[in-house]
Amino acid sequence: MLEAFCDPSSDLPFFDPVVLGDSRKIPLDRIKYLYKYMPMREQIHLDQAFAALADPTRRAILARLALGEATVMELAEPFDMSQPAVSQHLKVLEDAGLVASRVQGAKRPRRLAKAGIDAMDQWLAMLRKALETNYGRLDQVLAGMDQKKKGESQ
Amino acid sequence: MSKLTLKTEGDTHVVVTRHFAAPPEAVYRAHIEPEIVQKWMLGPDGWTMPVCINEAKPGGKIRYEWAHPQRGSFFLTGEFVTLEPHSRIVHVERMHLPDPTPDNHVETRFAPDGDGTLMTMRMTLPNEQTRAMMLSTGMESGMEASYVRLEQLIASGLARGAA
Repeated sequence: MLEAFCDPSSDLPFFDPVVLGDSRKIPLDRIKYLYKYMPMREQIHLDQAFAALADPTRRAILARLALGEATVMELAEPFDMSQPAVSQHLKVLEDAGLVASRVQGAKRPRRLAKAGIDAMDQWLAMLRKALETNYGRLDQVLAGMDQKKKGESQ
Repeated sequence: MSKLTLKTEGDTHVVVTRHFAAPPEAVYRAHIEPEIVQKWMLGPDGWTMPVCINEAKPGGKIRYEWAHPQRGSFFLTGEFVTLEPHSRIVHVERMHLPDPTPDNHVETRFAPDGDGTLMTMRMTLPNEQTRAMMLSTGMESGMEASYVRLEQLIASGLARGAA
């Protein structure tokens, strides 16, 4: 399975509900909070997060972490890449708020930072809603076109 | 249930899909004919599209202008690249806020889907930074209007939740 994640040409369904949970289930008050009180720093954070996602190796790292905690060594293993190179990618992901770490003896296992990933998903949920407003209107226009056509053919 | 999906793909793409309960011919026309576009591509309530130019031919110009009595106006320009009635439109677009955003290359496909149509809109941005900008802050400023609508959606959702 990990090999699939390592294929740079494969597009990971990173916002697939299986990975991130169904965005429709996000409580509205949390979206409201995000929208109303999102400070500028958080917005930059979000910008960084989207930029961080635009790299196949970093997406693969996130996909691996979606399965559970992993050390740098474990993360480097499936890649043809040195540990420092993986560490560099991890730093980008950590700066963007997508990955967190804890200290366990000499190790620092990394995990997905739920808050950062939720923030991105909530943001995309908002974009979906904005688009849906237009398409909901188009549904009505299309229904009108259909009725008009039926009227003309009668 | 929402019929819309919006996903990032690869480094520079954003893919939107949506099912419509109308044949591909109708959905295609609704994206091309200015008098139909003006009825739905409006963002939140209160916004209108006083100018809608769609020269539906390769190289043909696109210009949409949106206006709101209190919130002002902004516009989008673009060019058609390919038109395959009633299955595919390729065009390039950019927002003017008033500075132009980097070009967004958009391929929109209309495929029969049961009794209706599955629309797949694939946006390609010049690079990862541009996509990040569009997804996080670019769309935000461009669709400032969407915020207002969002607020209403949230308010009504909360009202319903409280009831």
